[in-house]
Amino acid sequence: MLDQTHVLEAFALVFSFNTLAWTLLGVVVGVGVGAMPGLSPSPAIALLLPLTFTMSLPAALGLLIGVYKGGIYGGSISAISFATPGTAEAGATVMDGYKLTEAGKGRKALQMALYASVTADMATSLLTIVLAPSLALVALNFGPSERLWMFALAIALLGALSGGHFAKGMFAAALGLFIGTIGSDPVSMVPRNTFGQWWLSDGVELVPLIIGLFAVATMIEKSSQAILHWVSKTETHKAVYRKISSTEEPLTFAEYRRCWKEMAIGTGVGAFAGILPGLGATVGAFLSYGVAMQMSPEKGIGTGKLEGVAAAEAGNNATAGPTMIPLLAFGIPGGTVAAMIGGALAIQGIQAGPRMFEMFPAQIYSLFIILIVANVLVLAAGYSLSGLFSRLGQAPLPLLAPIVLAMSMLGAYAYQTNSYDVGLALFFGLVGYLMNKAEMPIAPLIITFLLAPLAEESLRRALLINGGDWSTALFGSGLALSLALATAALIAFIAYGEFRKARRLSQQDQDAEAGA
Amino acid sequence: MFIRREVIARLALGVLTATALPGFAMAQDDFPSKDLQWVVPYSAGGGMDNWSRVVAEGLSQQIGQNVNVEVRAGAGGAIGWKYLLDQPADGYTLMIGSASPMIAVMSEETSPIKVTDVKIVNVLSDYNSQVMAQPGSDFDSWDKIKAFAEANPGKLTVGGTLSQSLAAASVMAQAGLQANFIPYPGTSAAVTDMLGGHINLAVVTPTTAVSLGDKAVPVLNVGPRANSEELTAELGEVPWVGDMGYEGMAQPRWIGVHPDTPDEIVAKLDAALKATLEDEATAKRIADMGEEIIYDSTPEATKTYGAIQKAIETYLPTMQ
Repeated sequence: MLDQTHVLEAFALVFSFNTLAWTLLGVVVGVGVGAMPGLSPSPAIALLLPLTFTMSLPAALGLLIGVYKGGIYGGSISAISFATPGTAEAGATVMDGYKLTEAGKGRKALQMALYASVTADMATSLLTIVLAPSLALVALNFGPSERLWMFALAIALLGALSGGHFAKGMFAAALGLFIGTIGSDPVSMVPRNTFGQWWLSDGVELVPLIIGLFAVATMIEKSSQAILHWVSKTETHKAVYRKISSTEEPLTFAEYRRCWKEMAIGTGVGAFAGILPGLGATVGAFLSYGVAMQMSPEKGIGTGKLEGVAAAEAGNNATAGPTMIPLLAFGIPGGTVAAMIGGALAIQGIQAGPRMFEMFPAQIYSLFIILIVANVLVLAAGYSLSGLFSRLGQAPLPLLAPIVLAMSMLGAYAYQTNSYDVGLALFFGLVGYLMNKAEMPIAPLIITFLLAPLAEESLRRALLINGGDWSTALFGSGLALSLALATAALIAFIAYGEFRKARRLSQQDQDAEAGA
Repeated sequence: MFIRREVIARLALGVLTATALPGFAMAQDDFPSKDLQWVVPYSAGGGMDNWSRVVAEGLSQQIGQNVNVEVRAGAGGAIGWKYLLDQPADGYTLMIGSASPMIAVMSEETSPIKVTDVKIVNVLSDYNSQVMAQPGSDFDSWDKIKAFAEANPGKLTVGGTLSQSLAAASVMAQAGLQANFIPYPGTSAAVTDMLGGHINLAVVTPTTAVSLGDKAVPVLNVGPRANSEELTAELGEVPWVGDMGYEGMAQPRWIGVHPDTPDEIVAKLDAALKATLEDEATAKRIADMGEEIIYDSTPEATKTYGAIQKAIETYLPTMQ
């Protein structure tokens, strides 16, 4: 199935100075962005997306994928060095990572993070390369009815993402649903929910939304924190930072091998979290960490063990390749970054979908090769960069915030040379800030924003094809029926879990009252 | 007293007009004296965008001024169109279009833009939409399609973008057949569903038809003319609706300006664009894109636009 000429062509495209240089730049930028708390790879990719229009496709993919993979790893640098996760997905690395630093094993922790990330990433990138083309063949069987249930399944998984507060997660999802409906209806192009504003008739774009909800919101939050806790903030920061000296012991191979189980857990869970639309690196990290803890309670993960770092970092980096599988096989972006990579492909005239493999084989193979190359570059550059970026993360907020805000405004504008996008980014910055204050998770909003319009399109189309008959539109094929049952089972499972949690909590309340 | 005031008023008006005239004439003589804007109401990187960049570059050579391509996608083309209408009617902003923005504007009852809100300069290109089916299916020849549609009115599913589907819809209506038209945001999505057997037919551009190779079989050419020799060499003989006595629908790439633009300026733009298309370098770049130049001057192009408008009015309801 692998076409020799196209594979060779792909290699030639990737191993050119241009592509490799851009990939390396992407990795460096990504690690830096990941390491700095408040910045994360998604808005960085969003900012870089318009630039890729003038670049060749392999270079564009190298840059964006480099930023993404570098970013996921980069978050661990500040998580380990000063207990502040650089990215959401590095949150699971803090617990063991920082304790290791305090015990004088910071260098080991940083290296473990790097090696676990790279190992898991390599494994799942290979998985992506093997799986995607095979899935693409199966994908043709997914018509509008089947796709509808896939989206429903993904949206149902939101229950897993809501963290502590189910209701808050659902509210965020509802917000995302509404924002997703702003604009033109996907079938007959009639504007709706545009508040009478003509510039909203095409809806809200992903890039200004991400820039606003993440970059701008975080800068608003950090600035307001800094203003409110002016003195104590700088003091806390100094106390937290422990210098990781190069005279510390490096990681030994035996220690690396000892954590194979945790890395395997991370790889497996991460691949799963990556493939399923709607989950992502954060879920991968926390889920892997949780599973590793459950499976080996005797190892004491959470008290400052390398195993904890291995599980968390393997878990988040493992999602990088698989998150593209739904995009490559079905043309459906499974998450924010995949959606943006899909956008970069579209800019170059490549429509994502099951026929990409026959229509643009060389380009897709070059994407696969870049997945591996970017990973290798992260390995090569990762450790030396960690020293640099752990210090940069200390940049004073009065310097960091204006720069990030300026870049955000520029990026939002550059996306479509549309000044209304800047306004939207600012507006969503405020929304994101309020959501963070209310401890409302943002991930469900993004997911419904992305998936609901696609689900609507599929539903409408399925109904059109079946002449308005709901039963054939929804359950017309065996595949559709199985997916529908899976969705129902998942919702039931999540609901049961919530029910038991509520019972446990109320039981605890009752016990507390009885005891008091 | 009355007469004197009237005379003075008329004299004043005459003087004012006389002073304005040279300015007006000068504006026309000097056209173009600054950069032009070329609006593309389609997504970046697509066929229309590529066309625009190639022709805009050639045009700036011809007229000695920069031609800046402005991609303003959205709302099926309405956003770019609105932008055109917001610019002064001085011929310095032009827009490339097709049936798609026309359909977008005509299908929305409360649209602020009317399909007549444009003055056509000319047409750069045109193509024949091809109807494709899965080989070996019940729909891989026109006879089979007709048989199925007659036995099952309204069950035949035809997918494509709005403008492509319209071409098929006009032929179906002329043949007295009832089909079920499924709109897709892009040709590629329609083809995917057709190949997966979820819809019966897909209406596509010649480029897409050729790229499908053995995977799909072209069953009908619903354009205004028979397929060219080059296209027939790639696709094989495709029955043309004209040979069956039906009228196909054109898919022109037209260039338009603000409806209040003076005709003299429109003529200058037409001449400059014609020269651009005839220029060897530009013609070669277009051929390299795999596209064809089918030029129509202002009067012909305006007629074509009117014909498409009529086709939309007549056949769009059959699609909904």
